Amino acid sequence: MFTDFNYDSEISKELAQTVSKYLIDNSNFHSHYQSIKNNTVDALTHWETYAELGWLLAPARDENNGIGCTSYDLACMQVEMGKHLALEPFTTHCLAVQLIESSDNSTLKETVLPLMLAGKNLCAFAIFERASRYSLDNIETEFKQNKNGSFNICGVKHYVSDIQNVTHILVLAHDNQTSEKCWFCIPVNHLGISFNFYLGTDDKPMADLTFDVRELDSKFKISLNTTDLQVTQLLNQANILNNADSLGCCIQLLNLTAQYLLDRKQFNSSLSSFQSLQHIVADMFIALQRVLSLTFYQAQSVDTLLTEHAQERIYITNVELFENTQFIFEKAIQLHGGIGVTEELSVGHLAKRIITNNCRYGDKLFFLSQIE
Amino acid sequence: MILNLTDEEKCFHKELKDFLSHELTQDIVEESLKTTSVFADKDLALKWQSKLAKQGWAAQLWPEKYGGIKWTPIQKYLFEVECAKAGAPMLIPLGLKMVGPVIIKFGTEEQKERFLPNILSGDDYWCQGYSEPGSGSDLASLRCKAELKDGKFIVNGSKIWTTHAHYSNWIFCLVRTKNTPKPQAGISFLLIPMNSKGITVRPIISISGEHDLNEVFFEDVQVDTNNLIGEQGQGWECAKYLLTLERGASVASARLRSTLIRINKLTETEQLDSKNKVNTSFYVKQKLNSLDARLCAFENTEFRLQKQINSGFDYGFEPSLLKTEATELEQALAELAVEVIGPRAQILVRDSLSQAWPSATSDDVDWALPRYLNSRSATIYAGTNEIQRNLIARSIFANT
Repeated sequence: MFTDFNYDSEISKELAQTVSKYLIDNSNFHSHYQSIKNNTVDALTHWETYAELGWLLAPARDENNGIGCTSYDLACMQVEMGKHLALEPFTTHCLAVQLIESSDNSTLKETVLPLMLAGKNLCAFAIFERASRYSLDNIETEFKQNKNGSFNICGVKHYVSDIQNVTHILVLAHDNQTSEKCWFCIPVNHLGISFNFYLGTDDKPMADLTFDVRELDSKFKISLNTTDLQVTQLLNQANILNNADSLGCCIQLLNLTAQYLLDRKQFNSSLSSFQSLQHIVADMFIALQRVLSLTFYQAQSVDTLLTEHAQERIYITNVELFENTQFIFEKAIQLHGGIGVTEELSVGHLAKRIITNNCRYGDKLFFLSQIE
Repeated sequence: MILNLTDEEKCFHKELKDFLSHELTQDIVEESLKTTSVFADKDLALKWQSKLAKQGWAAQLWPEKYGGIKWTPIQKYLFEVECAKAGAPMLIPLGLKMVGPVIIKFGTEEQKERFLPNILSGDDYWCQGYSEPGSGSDLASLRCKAELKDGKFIVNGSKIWTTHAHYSNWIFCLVRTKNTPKPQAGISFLLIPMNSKGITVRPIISISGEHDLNEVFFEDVQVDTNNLIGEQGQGWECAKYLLTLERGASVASARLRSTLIRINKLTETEQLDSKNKVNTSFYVKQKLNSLDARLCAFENTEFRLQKQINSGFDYGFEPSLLKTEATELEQALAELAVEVIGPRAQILVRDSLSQAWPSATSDDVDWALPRYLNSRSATIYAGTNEIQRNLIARSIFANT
């Protein structure tokens, strides 16, 4: 297939192929669409199998009984999940594992982490607030340490994705005295959390969360003095996996479009015989190559990107990725004609998934503003 | 926009503004702002239509004797511009601007008396049966057939992308009444009551989660012969006339200008980061300026064309030019709106989902994403923009 690519390592190849095989056999658009129509969306249908197949061990380090996959390996897995519109919260899982592993809280590592890797614990990230778009300079959610060592956390977080059946919420808050930032891992059933659930544009469960948490045990504090760089690195990782997901969507969109143009006849000819349409498909392919190259460039370089200049490159490449993925889904819809603008074909769902990916952990305007 | 209006036109302009300030009430404007798809909500559009009909302004493409008004193209232009500025809903064109003019041009006097008053009053609500599952841009290949048996047409086949079929009590259809070597020659224009036995309507939900479109199935549907418009085989002529009206009769720039103003306002309220609003973004400023200039060009192109029509100029490829420019501007504006709302584009407020996963709390920016998603169809319907470019090129070469 023209969209195949050379994998960086045997493990990335093996993981991607395993994910691909499982999802081809077990996840199809028809059942996905039926669940949306019947209002029975379940983002965790295959989660247990993800655990059984060992995929949830992929982001964890060797010392935590994980596989220790690189960003590149994880991106290869996520590409396949994007292709098949998988609803399972794999990206969030990878980020949550990495956040807890990087903390100095051994209790969380010993109690919460193993159950995450077994698929029993699920975490969601509560990071962004309506009043600051994606900026973390002035987040309003604040924490205060009580005399007995426990914490109070107050604030409102928006656009919390992958919220279905979560056991813990990973909340970023700041100290109301010193403005230092800190992550907390709050059990979902802790008093003082209220939820406003809804389905996201990409058909995945989301929520806005209001926190008025009192007396949170200090064992749920992930790490004090979280630096902006640490948060930025986590968001870089999030964007890379999202971009890999969009890459999967784009591969699928090009395949579907090329097949449609070959099959569909108008004016007694296959649509693929019309030069103006051929040029559009060629432009989609060129854009896809950019997406592929930039996604894996990001994945391979993320661990070493520490300088300001390198961070700028991440922002710039995100903008370029977002523009190209948008181009691909817009043209895929155009070339499918009317059916592309309906819910009845996967094209529209792949498009909406890319739209969501392109504004989940930062968007074009925000990244541009960081380099203007 | 420099209009250079005559005294008579200035007088009309004032009358128009006075009318809008009295009749276009706030509730209509607010409801209209919620419109995200191609057509306004049926009840809203009919409410506005009844006010215009009372004033005698609803049927601008019709002769006075049928309830229309003899406006010059400039008057029609001013009307569209002022309505858009004031936030009036779009009139549903299916009856007033599409089947109505076809009946007037090709129908019998009996048909005109029978159908036109109910179109004007809104008592009859029409949908269009043109496209078929196998015939999109290649309309002439349509297969839905009507056979004459015992003094009635028997219709079998299906139509797709039928906007508001679920609200309509009539459908105007292109049907094949004869197999001819030239496919266009065997097509006829037939009016069919939607409550006829053998008609079923299947909803098609758009990617924005809205229900405007449908597929309509005909199974041995009996239709009176006096519902045939024009002669048998004259359907293609009717269709071409109607498509020209569809592409050229409206003034799109005014509503695009309103959208640009609305986006501008959004940039003043949406956050770029914790300290700045979106309107401080260099990229956004540049894009707004660029779209403003492009829209300015389009406004003047449209107005220039209206003036030419005023002096007897006949339409050629110009509808294709206008359609291409208008729809691509519409998409560019919708894209910018989604960029402005940023993270809010993760939420698509769906009407249909309200149980296990309720819809997100509505927000005043919620129009942007559905508008963007629906705008993708603008370069597909009424002849794709690829087809429009073919027509423009053909005309250029023919005149070179």
